[in-house]
Amino acid sequence: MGPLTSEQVLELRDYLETHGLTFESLQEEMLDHICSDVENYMMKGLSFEHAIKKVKSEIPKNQFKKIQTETMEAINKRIRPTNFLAYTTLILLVMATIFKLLHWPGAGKILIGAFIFIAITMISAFFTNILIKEKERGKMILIAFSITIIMFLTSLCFQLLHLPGTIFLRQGSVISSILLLSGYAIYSYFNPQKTANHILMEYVRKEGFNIEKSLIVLSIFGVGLKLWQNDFLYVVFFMLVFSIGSSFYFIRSWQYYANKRVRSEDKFGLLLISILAYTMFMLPTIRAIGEPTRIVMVWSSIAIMLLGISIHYFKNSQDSYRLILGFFSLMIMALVFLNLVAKSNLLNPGTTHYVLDLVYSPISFISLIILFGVFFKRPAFRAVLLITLGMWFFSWQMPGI
Amino acid sequence: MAAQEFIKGTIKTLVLKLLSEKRKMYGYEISSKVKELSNEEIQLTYGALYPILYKMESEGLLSAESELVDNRARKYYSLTKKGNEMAKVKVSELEQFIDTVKGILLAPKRSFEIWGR
Repeated sequence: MGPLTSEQVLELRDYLETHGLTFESLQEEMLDHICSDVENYMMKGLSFEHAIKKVKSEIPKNQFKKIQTETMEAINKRIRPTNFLAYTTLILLVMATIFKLLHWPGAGKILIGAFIFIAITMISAFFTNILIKEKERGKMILIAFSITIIMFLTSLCFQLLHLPGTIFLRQGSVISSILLLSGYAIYSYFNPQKTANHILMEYVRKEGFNIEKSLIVLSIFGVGLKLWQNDFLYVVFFMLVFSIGSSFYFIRSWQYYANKRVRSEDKFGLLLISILAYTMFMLPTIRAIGEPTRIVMVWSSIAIMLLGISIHYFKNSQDSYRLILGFFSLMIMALVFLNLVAKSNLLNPGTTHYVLDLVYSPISFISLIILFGVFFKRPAFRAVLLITLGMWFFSWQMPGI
Repeated sequence: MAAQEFIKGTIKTLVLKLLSEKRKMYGYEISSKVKELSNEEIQLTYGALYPILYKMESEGLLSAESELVDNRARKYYSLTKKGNEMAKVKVSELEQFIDTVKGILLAPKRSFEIWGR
């Protein structure tokens, strides 16, 4: 009796997922363990079905959820200094927002402090990872990427302080992050085995949940600032969400190249789409690109990602509710396309106004939220929906964007 | 089955010991090795083993590497320099502890002997 087929492995993976094991790296590991267990019983003469039954019967109820919680606790206990820095950042962000809302002086300075802390937090997390794992590969890209992040945050600080050099720093960091991450995406496409253990991938796998949490917190601040006081400051918040978010999701997509379950043509599609979407999403932060090109680029990028992921989902998913969700996805895509058309100045002003009213209606917002809730467990969809929601809020009642 | 009760505090040491003898091992391998060496007395459940492995990895005692094997990823653990040192310390601590416990367990017997029973 040889190893399990990929269909059998898939069946076991679904079992783990439906039993609450969602933390990716732990899921992979438990999957290997359970597969080995099943293979062991099959070697003793049981059929696959019987072996599975036997293995499942040996697992206590809620075991996987318990393991996941315990594992998370074990990991989270370690990064005390990073956690401390993260909380300090959060406190500074809250303070900056309160100061701004109450018109007290110094909000800008606190915010700059918060940015410095974001940089320190990320770098401390990177380097504790480097220091702890002596053998880990991929340190160079991590260091290069850290420098890019520092440059980007410095450009935001300079912008707040109205210092010269903002544009240079912004262009430098955006272009270098596009080149760096795209180059690395191509490299991991061709050498999936080598990059699977790279420290940046490991970092994204482990800290993914924390990064997504901070992205949501930052967007809430952005939305709050925008709703209470239509101040320039919220733009800075959203800039942070979009740049960190898109880079994070881009890096996370590389793990699919090492995944044997994904077909090779899908991997190639992912490579093309992700590089294109990331470039089109990040480039408009450079002021050199004018209106309405930049708006079209940003929204096209979201449209490309949505389209790619939806097609992939419909081709491969066996979800029973995928038709209902298909309807919602189409609606969202229609919204993105309508927005795109309206903002590319192709229509006459009257129609544009009408289309924009539709795009920014509560119905479309509710659809987005519903989709986000339903697709919460699908990382790719969650990513693109989070970015879409952010863009929706960011550009809402903003004539230009 | 009494072994299951006593094993809790020693899993970390057992993992360190096993890994100091073999360059790299994956989770299932560790648990089957423990089962084999203990004549099936000790069975490390998933719930006991993996949180500890993750904890040891985050403490810098273990380093991990994934490899693709038979349609799935397999995570191999090996000792870091710090882990190697810790293995020596923990194993000798455990040996000492076992001796201490033995001393206690044997104590009543000795006293009975003194009384001539």
